[in-house]
This record gives sequence, C-alpha cells and structure tokens, in this order.
Amino acid sequence: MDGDDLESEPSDDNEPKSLAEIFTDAFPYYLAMGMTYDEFWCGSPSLVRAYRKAFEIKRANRNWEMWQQGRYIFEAIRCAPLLVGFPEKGYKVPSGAGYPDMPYPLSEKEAKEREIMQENENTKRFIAQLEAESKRNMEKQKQEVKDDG
Amino acid sequence: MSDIKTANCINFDYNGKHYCLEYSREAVKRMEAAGFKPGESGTTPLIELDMLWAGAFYKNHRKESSRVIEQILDKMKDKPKLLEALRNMVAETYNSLLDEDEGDEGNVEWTATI
Repeated sequence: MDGDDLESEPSDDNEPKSLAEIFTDAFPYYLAMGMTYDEFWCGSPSLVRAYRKAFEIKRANRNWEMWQQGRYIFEAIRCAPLLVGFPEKGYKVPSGAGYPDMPYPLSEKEAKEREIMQENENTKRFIAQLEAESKRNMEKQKQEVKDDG
Repeated sequence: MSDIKTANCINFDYNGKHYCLEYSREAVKRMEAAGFKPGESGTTPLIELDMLWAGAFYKNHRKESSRVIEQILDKMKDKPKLLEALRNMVAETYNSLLDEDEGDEGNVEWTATI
C-alpha cells in the first residue's frame, strides 16, 4: 500500500489553516519536548508555555555540559606530553597547565569556596615547609655542634 | 450561586453543581469538526455563542445534557461579555503555541453571573 494514501488531501495554499491543522502540526514538537498526548490535547492550553521554557532550560544546560566536556578534553590533550613534540628528558608539564584536580566550579560561590580552600592548602603547605626547614636547620646545627665537640 | 474567577476558566455553580468551563485543544478540534470557524464573518454572534458555549463543556462536563447546557446559557447575564471571554479562551488554545508570552497576558478573567 502506498503511504500517500494515508495522507489527507492537500489543502489550498490560499486557504488559512484550520485550528485542528495548526494543533496537529505543532503536536510532534511538543511530543519531542516530553509532553504527553493527554497534556497536549486534553490538558490546559497554557501548559505548552511551561514546556517551551523547560525545553529552553534543558537545551541551555546541555549546551553548557557539552562546552564543559570540550574544555575537559582540551585540558587533557593540552597537558599530554605527546603534544609538546619532542620533549627534553625530564620534561614536566608547566604548573597550572595540568589536568584540573577537580571539576570546574559551577557557580561563583563554589569558585570562591575553592579559592579559600586553595589558599588554606597553600598556607598549610607553606607552614609544613617552614617546619621541615627549621627541623633540618636544627639537625644541621646539632650535627655541627657534635662535629665541633 | 457563587462566582469564582480564574484565568482561562469560567467557574460557577448551577443547581448545586459546580461547573468549570474551559477549552482543550481536543474540544476546539471537535468544535471545528462540528462546523465552528473562529473569526468567520458569516457566523452570527448568537450561533457562535451557542457553539462556543457547548464546546466549553466538553473538557470537564462532556456528559452534561444539551438541555441543561442551554438552560444555563439562557440564565447567563451579560452575553456580549461572555462571548468575548469564550472567544479569548479559544484563542488561548492556539496563541499559547505561537507567542512568547510567559505572563498572564491573554488570560480570561470572567465572573459568571446567573
């Protein structure tokens, strides 16, 4: 059976579309947005606005996720020694150019929290370095005293 | 008879029963199949009002007898305003597909009085 038999007769181009035709044309788009048959045909007519808005939000989120994934891939490729060409022996990825230790912050608040956390870690590391150095100095002095004695 | 006002809906009580009249796209499609043509200049307001009124029962009160539907319409006051409200409610079924409106614009505010 030919598929064309199932289609309705083509309407005159000059004739405005009926409401039923407008609804039928729009229906697949709203199905794609996740609306059900009952919601579209039997539900409140205004519901489509909420679906459109939700679809915009979903699309923006997806766009953001894809962009973010691209950034992660870029970071991974950027810090691969393979791309440096012929790196010298002992080549190290420059600091800050490595693959991020954590996912990118999703909000300014999260970014600030990370910054504070990073500062705290830097301070701890600095204190640990100082302690280690003073310990080393003390041991050196002790050794010198022993050697002199 | 209590009068309750909501957007895109006509609410009223008749003979102890609560009615909430609104349109769905399916109802408008059926009205079209029955001969209703929105914005058609040839249709007289009375015929248009009859069709719109009967169609407004389809979504929530489709089992209501046509006799009762007619009785309620006869008792409705301010028919020009009612006709305008019903037209706007039908328009909402397709305007909502086309516009970018996110607010209350175009919503019908109607106080039904019998």
